[in-house]
Amino acid sequence: MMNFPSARILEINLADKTYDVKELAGEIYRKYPGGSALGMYLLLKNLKPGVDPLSPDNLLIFSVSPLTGMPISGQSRMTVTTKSPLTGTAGDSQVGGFIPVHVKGNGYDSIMFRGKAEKPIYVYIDGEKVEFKDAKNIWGKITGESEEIIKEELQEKNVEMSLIGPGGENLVRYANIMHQRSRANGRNGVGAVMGSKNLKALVVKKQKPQKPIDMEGFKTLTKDIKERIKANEVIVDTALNGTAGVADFHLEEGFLPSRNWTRGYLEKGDQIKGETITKTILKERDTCFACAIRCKGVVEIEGKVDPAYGGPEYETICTFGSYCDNTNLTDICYANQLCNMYGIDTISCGATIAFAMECFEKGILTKEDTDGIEINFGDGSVFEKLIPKIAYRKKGIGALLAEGSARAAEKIGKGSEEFVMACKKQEIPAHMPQMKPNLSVNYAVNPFGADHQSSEHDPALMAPKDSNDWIWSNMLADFESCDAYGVLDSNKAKFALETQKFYSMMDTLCLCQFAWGPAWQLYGPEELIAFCKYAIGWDASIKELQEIGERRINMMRYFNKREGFTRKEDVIPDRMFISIPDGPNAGTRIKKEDFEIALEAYYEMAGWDKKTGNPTEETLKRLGLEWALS
Amino acid sequence: MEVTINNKKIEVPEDITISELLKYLNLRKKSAVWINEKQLLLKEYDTYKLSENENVKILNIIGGG
Repeated sequence: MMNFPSARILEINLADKTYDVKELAGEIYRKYPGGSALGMYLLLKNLKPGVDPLSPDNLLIFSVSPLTGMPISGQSRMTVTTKSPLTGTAGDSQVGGFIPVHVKGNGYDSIMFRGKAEKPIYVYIDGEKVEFKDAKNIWGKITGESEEIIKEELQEKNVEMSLIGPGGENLVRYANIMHQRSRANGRNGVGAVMGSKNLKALVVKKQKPQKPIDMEGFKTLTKDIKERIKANEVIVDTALNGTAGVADFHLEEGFLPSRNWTRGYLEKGDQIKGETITKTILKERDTCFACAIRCKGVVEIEGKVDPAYGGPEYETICTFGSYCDNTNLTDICYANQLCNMYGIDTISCGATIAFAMECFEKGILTKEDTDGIEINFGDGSVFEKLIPKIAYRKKGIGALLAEGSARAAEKIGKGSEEFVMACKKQEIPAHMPQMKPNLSVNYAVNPFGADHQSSEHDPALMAPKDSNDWIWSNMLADFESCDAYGVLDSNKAKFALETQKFYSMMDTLCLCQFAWGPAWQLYGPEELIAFCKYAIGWDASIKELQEIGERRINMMRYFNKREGFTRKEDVIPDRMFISIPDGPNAGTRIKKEDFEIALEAYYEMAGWDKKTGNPTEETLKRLGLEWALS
Repeated sequence: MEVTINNKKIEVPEDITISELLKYLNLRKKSAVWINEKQLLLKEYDTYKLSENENVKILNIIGGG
């Protein structure tokens, strides 16, 4: 057996401005090999149950993996792990870009922050040197301006940073951590935790990326990259229209969540689809370190939208577009820019505004509650009025919506709970279970709330049997084929679970889910095994990779159990059981009874107690997690 | 000739292959295709020629994002 590399953990105590480096032995690191699993391992080991997520006792952990920085597409990702102030569960969020490479390049697999700084600071890391810098000049400033000031203060351009904006400083429950003004550890409110610690930024000096131990073997994966991309029409689409292109297909099929999820079809939806963006306002396509796909869209609208803040992804197009019944592309792009400037999650923010629009439509919120703003469906001009109020938690509608839709509904009452489209208080991303039924199970059981990148989507089970989609997904388990939308059964529950393990492993190895995956992606499971071997000499197998993913999910569920979560939180909004009322696939639905049966099947296959929804002791021991029980 | 595609009757050119049909309908090359309820393999898309009145079902394969 190879010697798996050990992990270096940089522990920083913000309260007394001290730090220490600890090593995690290779045989342990192999079980929790980076990213999300390493973060959860550290969180479970170091955080007591019941801690207030916004108190100094919470931890904030940035983790990369042994593969981060290798010269191949889709490896520059970093996970932030914490206890989420939005969900109260294990918190977990990924970012791409360039900082992951340089965290690894500085010699660290994980950087763990404890405590709270007495005054706002930022931390600068250059190899073994860790400096604590006064952030009084940047506290309160937007992300882009803060970046510039930090570079000027350090007199160093060769840095990358993860930082918060006013959203994080003001503890907006869905504040994010921004990188390069357009990439975000977006979900679970990780930016609020950073703000609660008075930590404005994590800054790292750029360093040389690591190299594979077998460069010749490695080149077999990269040498034909142009042909590989050309042969994959989904990736060609992604390179052309970015994730925004997903809107085109969902619109065409009538599964674009619209008007706060009451419909799947949006009139004039053509105005906000990916192809329209590409043809009208796209300035360029951007990329992450060493990635040939170039999926990131950068848009420019003269006098209104600054390309420095990137462009809207598919999710943002939906939350500020179709969720709000809005087809004004400029308003969507400007909302995206504002969220990136203030450091708040575009999914939760747009979805929370859509919730408020429905409350306003039904007379549950009035102009007296909204600082005089008419929050109407179809009116994107409200975004620029509301987003600053949210980011600064302005008394009134700003402070209310800064809590997210679920907590806002608890405060509003009057039946507004019915309009909350969230799981475990996290707003749901823009993929409808009526089209992709396995996501209903995933949204319900996912330990950190609804997430669209925690399992493969159902169309892989419809793919031709000689396609990569079918062949690769069936490397994980034997699935049955499916020939229609709306089918939810034990086969889909199995698909949800087995592909969730794979996606969980990818979030552990910090891999991008467009480049690596079990279906339509650039590289499949066998090539991932080759990647592991050529990069670090790791003789991995699909079984080992799946177990790594399963271990992470179970650590999270066990963390949640300690926090008092049970099966009763594994629910989805009733609105997900409605028939699609109009559009090309009108009438498509999933039945609540089928959902319940699939959920039971999932628990059974996962080795979780059906009554509590929590992992059994036997399952935890099977995964080598007996240490957590003590 | 007339065929039924996703429950709609559509006129298509004689002897059209599945690959040509997908291009004709502006759909992805690897969309899933069933002819009279039997799913085709991708490798059949260039050779299978539609006949009059055949019942075709096509589903777009759309992943995440």
